[in-house]
Amino acid sequence: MNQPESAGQMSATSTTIEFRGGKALSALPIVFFIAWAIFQSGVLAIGDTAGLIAGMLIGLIIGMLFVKGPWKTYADAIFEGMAQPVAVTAIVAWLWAGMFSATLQVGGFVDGLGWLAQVTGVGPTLFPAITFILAGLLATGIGTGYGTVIAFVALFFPAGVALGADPVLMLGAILSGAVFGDNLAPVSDTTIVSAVTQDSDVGGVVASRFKYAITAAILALIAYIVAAGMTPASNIDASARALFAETSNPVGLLHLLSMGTVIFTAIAGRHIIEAISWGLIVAVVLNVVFGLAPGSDMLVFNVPEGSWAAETFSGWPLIATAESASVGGSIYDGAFGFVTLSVLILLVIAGAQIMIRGGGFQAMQDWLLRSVAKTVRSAELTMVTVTAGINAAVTINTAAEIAIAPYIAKIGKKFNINGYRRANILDANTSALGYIFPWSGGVLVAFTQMNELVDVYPWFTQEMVVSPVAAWPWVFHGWLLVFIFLFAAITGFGREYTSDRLSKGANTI
Amino acid sequence: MSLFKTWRFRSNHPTFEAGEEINAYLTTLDADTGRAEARIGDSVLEVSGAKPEQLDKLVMLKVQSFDAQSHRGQAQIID
Repeated sequence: MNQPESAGQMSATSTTIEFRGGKALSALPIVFFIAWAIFQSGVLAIGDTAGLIAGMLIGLIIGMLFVKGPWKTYADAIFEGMAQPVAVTAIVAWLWAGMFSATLQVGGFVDGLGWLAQVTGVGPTLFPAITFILAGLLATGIGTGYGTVIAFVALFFPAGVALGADPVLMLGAILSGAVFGDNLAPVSDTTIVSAVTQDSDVGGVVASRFKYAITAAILALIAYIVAAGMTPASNIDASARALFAETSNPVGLLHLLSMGTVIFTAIAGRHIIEAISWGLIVAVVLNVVFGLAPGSDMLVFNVPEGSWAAETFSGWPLIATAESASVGGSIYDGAFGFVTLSVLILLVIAGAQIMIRGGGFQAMQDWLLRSVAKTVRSAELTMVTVTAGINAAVTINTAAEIAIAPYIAKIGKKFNINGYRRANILDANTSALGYIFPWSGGVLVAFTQMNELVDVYPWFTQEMVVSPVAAWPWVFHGWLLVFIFLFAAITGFGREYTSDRLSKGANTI
Repeated sequence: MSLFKTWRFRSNHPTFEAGEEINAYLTTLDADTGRAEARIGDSVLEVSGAKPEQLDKLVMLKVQSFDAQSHRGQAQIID
């Protein structure tokens, strides 16, 4: 997302907290959280985001027990972390994208996709590959991988599953598209952070990373076609498929205009909030004008039967009577679905801040420079693996990127690796690892959105929801990006030194 | 720049010509002896004329000599 001002907030690397047992103990809250996430979602197969909140809270409390001196500094670091603009940026994207996607859902966009797939004859073998391309294009256009995941899980995922595509492969394709866009989009927050922190210009980093992104994307595309041909069709009930086919309706494709509005507005340089807001307005107007959905499907005030409010406002637009009082509709449901995840993210960012203030990141850099990064090849391998490792640990990838960026700059400059190459190593592995593991933001967002589908479509059952722990092998573009950078570090593919070319933004004294 | 210009494999040991002017970070500087180096990949240029405040900073260098066998050479800071 277009939020460059968030860069640098977490790059302040001064140590303010001392831990019994050394700086490594500052990683305890995050390590505890990851262990909890693996046990909860991997071992016990409980995909409950609120459960992860409990894990992170307990991790933060356990970490505090190891602090030397006043615990106030630890508490301050928690607040400092939770106040990071980068966390709020992600939450805002989820809320807006949630409202937008849910409104397209009630407007029948998925029914339109179903009709299009039937008319064009696209079957389960090609659907994941096409989904990857379209998700990649949307993410590149609007610059937010999270927003793309929300929209595509809400809209393309059910269509693909109903057509018989493997749900896990569909999820992998969507996550891969998000990785592609996060990595390459000029307006992506990770792109901007990678450029700003490595003394480079956004245009230069995008142009120089094209070779890595397109190579991985072509291979991923082939992989999705091959894998879809090899995996069995989804075991969706025949009656569910028939129900989906029955509800297919081309008029839902009017919402291509809503999606086009978001993409066009974002490419025109408007903030993502503005872009999605315009898309939402267009979607609401289309729903009402063309009768795609009544206003009460988008926003409704449910008042209790027999109450004063029911008697007074009965018959008013957007007012309905129900057994209990509540607010509903796509705008409400779309945003509310991400509230739990938003709280979790604030706590995880707090955990990352504890690791920075406790000196964990600094200790890691010192050790790497002293013991591991002794040649340019080992230095680049270190940059790849450390960036990937930190992003695998910290749920929000932009936060992980900001935290690790100063150390990537330091290691790279020791070998005169130029700003573009450093930015590319940083961003590719940041984008990739943010959408692979079960506790990563991209996967959690997808899981949250997927659970909503059960209430939306009568034929979509809980069995079709993909567990977060099942997705990781299928995010082909993410894995390929990491492998390509390991290959590039070993062979020197695409490497540039400061003596070859200076990135715009690097200044001599 | 062209999207395809950097589709190439770059050596771990870049080479330089005498008289060539390049940009590089000054990667080592001994304040006592004034001995400084710019490490570029796994090649090293010994730099003369460096000031302490230039350590880890980007400087303009003029290469005076370079031995492609040992991957080492001499360079001078250009003011």
